[in-house]
Amino acid sequence: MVRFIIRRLISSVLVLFVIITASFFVMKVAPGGPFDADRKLPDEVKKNIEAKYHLDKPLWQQYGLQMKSIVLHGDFGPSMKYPDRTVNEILADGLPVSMLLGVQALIIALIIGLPAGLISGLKQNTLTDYTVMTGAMAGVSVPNFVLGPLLIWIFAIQFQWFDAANWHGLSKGLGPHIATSFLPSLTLGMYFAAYIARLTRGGMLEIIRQDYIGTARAKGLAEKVVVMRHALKGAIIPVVSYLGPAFAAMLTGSVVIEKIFNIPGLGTHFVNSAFNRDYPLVLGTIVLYSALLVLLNLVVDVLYTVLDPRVSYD
Amino acid sequence: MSRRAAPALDAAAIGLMALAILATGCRSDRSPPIERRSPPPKAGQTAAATDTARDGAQTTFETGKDRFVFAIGGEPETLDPGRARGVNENKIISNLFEGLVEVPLGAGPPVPGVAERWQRSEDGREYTFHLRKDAKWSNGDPVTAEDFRYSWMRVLDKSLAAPYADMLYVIEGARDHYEGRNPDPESVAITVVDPHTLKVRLAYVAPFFLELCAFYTYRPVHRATVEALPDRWTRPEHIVVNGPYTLVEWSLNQRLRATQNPHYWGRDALHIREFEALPIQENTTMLTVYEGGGLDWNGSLDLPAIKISTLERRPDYHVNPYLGVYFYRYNVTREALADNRVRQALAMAVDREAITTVIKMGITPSATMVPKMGAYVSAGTDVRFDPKRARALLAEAGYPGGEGFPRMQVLYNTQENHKRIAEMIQQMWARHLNVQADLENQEWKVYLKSQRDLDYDISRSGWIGDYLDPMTFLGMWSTGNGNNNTGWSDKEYDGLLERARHEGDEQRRLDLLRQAEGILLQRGPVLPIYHYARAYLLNPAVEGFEPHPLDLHPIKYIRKTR
Repeated sequence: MVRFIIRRLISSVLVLFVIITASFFVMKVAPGGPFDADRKLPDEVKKNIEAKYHLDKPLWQQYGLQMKSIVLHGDFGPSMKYPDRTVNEILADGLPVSMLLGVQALIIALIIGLPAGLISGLKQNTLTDYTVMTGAMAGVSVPNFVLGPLLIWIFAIQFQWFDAANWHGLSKGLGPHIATSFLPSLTLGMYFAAYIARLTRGGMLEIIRQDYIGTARAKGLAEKVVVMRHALKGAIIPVVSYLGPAFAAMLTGSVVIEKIFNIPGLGTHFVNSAFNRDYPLVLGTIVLYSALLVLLNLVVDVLYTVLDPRVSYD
Repeated sequence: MSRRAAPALDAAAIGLMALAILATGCRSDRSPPIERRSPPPKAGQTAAATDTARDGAQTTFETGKDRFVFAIGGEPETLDPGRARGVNENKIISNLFEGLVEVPLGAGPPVPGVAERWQRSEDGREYTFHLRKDAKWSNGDPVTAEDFRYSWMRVLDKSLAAPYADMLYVIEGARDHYEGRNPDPESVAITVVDPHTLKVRLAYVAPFFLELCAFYTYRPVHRATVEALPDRWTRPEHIVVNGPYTLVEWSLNQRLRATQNPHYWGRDALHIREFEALPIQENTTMLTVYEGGGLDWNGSLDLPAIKISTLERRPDYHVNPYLGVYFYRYNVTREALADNRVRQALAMAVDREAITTVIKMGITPSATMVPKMGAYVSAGTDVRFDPKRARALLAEAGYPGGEGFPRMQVLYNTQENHKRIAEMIQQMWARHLNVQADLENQEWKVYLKSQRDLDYDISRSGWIGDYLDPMTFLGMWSTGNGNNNTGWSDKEYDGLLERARHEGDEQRRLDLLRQAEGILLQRGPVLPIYHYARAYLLNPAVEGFEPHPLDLHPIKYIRKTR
């Protein structure tokens, strides 16, 4: 097991190295640079700016400098778009926001998805089942850029229960935080709630037919106990193993939601840094996202062995 | 990566628009207005203001009587006046740092700032500023002439890499110093006569120099702070300012908050205790926040185009002219477009009125390049919508009935309105001239590069003036100017501009500029379409907020009635 983890970590480093290298060269190929604007900089001014950020050096040398700074110091350097900030600071500001949003979305997804899946699994082929599964189908199919504005219109504009934007974080207390973060969390979690409902339903249908459930029932246990104590455990195994990838997908998938609800997370930088040709920030977000994905995948693979005795890496 | 992200964003924009249509539809006369529950009052909040618009929409402003909250279209790049380069930055910087002169309330010449009075020499090339003795930095230090000399020389210091360094080229010796031909800082004609007197000699006659002194690149910075923390001094915990407000919070992509500077000389006249700027990217999101009472003004964001027809009936909606021109560039290195008759024919086939009635937002159709400003009267032109003459000119140029005319590629940066305008013009050319055009949209930076490399036939363009003088619209068309991007060169035009730069008499100077604009319109590489306007929403409780051609509204004048 330990050998497996070490092996995976080593290959992860390699993967990251390839990602950084490829991203570095691909973004340099894109036309235009960080300092292009509709008002052209005089040549002399442009030369000075490029010298300041080493953009006047040959590409391989820029690559060397960047790699050295990342590997030796974990430093992506100053942002070219936001000269008052370093890339590390920008990422450190955005990551907790995206994480918080992701965790909340995950919790909402579980609160909605698990009961929905259980009920529909237990009442297979009834009207309840069909209704819940239709809802789940809709949840998977409706894109978040439709759902988000729709929720804003209903709950922020018509009913005024929640705020449409103005993320506060937890700095102003829980109440204002919920008011500003509930709608985006719900929008982000909806797709996953639907998916979790389907997984739970599937798990339930499989477990409920197992012999040991029959035994439990034969012993005369109440149906509630059979479901809650015996069936549930087995039914949610696929859900648990899905949580890792789901969380990773939430972190990287919040780009549109951050834009709609004006949330100061990583997604904004992920997209805008590319449009701005802010090279260090592009690299920073890519590396951070890749590292998160690689790490979460590793955690999930390890979790499999814990949850399912049939899986072993040794 | 950007290419992968773009469709998703476009799709998002389309989705939002569809919903916006739905939302407007629901507000039509058929359905009764939905009563909106106003949220419970929050602690520390003064009486909320309610305004009922004709269509039944209500906005309960929750910003407070002594606070002013507005939106900016994105996170400010920097708050360092010397390094800033944009509208969002300006909206904040101009309230934190005070220049020698200041933006007035509404249109008009600059008013005293740190300088309480000034003189211009006979030849128009030397300015002497007398600084007020009670001007102080937010840490109590006095603001002196040396502060200005230091701040300007700092912009001219290569190591700062200031993007707007060339804004100071108007000062004698500045350009040579910046470009390394004269490394001696004394060669730049900025002289500290005494701590409260500053003398500046210009490289040429530029009555707009006073305007420049109110521009952010010319605003002062606090030397000791800047030198101690070169990259971090703009943070709230370090910043030292000399303007009416000082920064207390700067949360990335969330908000900037500033309160009154206790050492500001004019503090007693301030009404607003604290202002807040919220970076918001989507204008639909901004509108939702405004409708929820969270904003007093949409700031640097545009209003969503699709909502304009609903918004324009409301009392809190306003439109003011804005110093900018929307036009098409011709690449005159293309064989067909090198012929001025062809350029005129294309221009005469464009019905500007038809375009502006569709696009709305208060814009005015215009066949001239320089918007109305001050004493300048535009040259005017006879290149007007006239399909008959257009056809005749095209035939004269050797393309009767559009025959043999090459397909034209019209380049624009990806945006809904640019596309609609391009489509209309495409149809007008096809209908009136039988000229076929292909539309090509490119992502912003790619588009800029294509334009700069002359890798286009005709390109959508816009230009916003930096200061209130025709020069800001005419200077760029001189031969080889970095913003020309058309390959166009005209000896007579260059000559007129050069003469204007050395003309001390203001009336004669404007006259030379008018002649230059005449040439530009008669045989230049441009097809002007409309002059810009700012459509905005403003809390009706706000006073001391007047139309300004550059959309500048210093917060020190603002007062709220509730």
